[in-house]
Amino acid sequence: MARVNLTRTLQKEYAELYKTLDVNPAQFDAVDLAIDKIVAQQPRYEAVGQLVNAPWYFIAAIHNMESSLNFSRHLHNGDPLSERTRHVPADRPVNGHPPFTWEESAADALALRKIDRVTDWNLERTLYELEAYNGWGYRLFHQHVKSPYVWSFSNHYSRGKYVADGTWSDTAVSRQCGAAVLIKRLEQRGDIDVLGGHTILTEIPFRLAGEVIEYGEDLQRFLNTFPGISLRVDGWPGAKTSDAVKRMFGFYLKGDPRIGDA
Amino acid sequence: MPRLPGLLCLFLTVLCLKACAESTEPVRRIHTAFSESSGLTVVDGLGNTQQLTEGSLAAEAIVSSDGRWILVEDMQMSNLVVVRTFKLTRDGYREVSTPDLRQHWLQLAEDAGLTFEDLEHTRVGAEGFGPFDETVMLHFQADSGLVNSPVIDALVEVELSTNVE
Repeated sequence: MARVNLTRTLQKEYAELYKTLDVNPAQFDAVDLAIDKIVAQQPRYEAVGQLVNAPWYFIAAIHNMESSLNFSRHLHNGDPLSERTRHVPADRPVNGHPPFTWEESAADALALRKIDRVTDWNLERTLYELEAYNGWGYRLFHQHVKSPYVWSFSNHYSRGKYVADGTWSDTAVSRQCGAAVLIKRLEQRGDIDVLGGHTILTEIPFRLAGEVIEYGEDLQRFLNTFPGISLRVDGWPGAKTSDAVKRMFGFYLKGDPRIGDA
Repeated sequence: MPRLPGLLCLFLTVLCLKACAESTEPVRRIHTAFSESSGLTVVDGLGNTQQLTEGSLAAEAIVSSDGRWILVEDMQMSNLVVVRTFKLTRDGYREVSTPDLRQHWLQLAEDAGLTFEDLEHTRVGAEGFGPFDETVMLHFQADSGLVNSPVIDALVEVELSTNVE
């Protein structure tokens, strides 16, 4: 399938859609039921996140979209964990021996789709990787419908999806909660902190002298969701916070004296 | 009159030879490969390559014992796998219209108390051919995408059609 690149235009689209996302009121209970189950299993998602260097909520969202949060099946295709996958993609995981843990299987499924190669997990990139994971069929062939894999249960999706025999239906409605809706609701409930991406991040200033800023704590909590980062949440965006931003996003905070160093 | 049994014998001999030729037709040796850029391709013993699918996230081929049939598990979306059937013709492998997945999905959805359009995570896997390669066992899996959803997990024997599209 043709690959879609994460251009600046697409980044803006994702940021705008996320900013204006409202959960459909009639589906609030279903969303929160899924969120409760996800949060209860957060350590399992974090364990996989350590293996593939991805935020735990991304893995949880994929798990919901691929297998309705079922931990007894391969994330690749729903085959049982008691043996390697029999169906497409077959003979996974390549390493290890059955029976597999869900964590082993999930890490293999995500690595197979190259999720472990993603380094900058900002909001736009997260939404892009979610849509890419499912495939670009909606964006390439049905531009009038925002992918239900990402936006179902929100004001950005009403109908239209691929049905069981692989054909397109303009009237079919996705019955599962979209991945962006799950992430937004996790954020609304305070389970995660997701900043608005580069647009905001690039504006957060570096501070030398222990000066607390308005979004400092939010930024540090957000950075702490990434594997290997553990910052004190004190609201002061100093050298350690700037290091973490550099590590995850490739640039220092605005005003960091190291900017421009080779 | 005396020549009639001779002609009959000749006719029967030809029929026998034809039947023997068909029954001893050499097994067609092929191999298949998948890549995201090239899709699923089949290569025969002479090195002829034919592309069977394109645009898939992944695909696996299951070839019948005589090489006449290829079933393809075609992962069109990460949560949507269909089975496609290809039959060997003089012009290479051609897709045939069966199995009719929709009819089976409709029945399975109804049995689970769901509608066809409710189904999510719909995946069909090929478990193998029947004894004469004219039927195939398909594994249907799906749910409604919601927590505590009814689950479809069924093996169905499906006849292969000779109706080339």
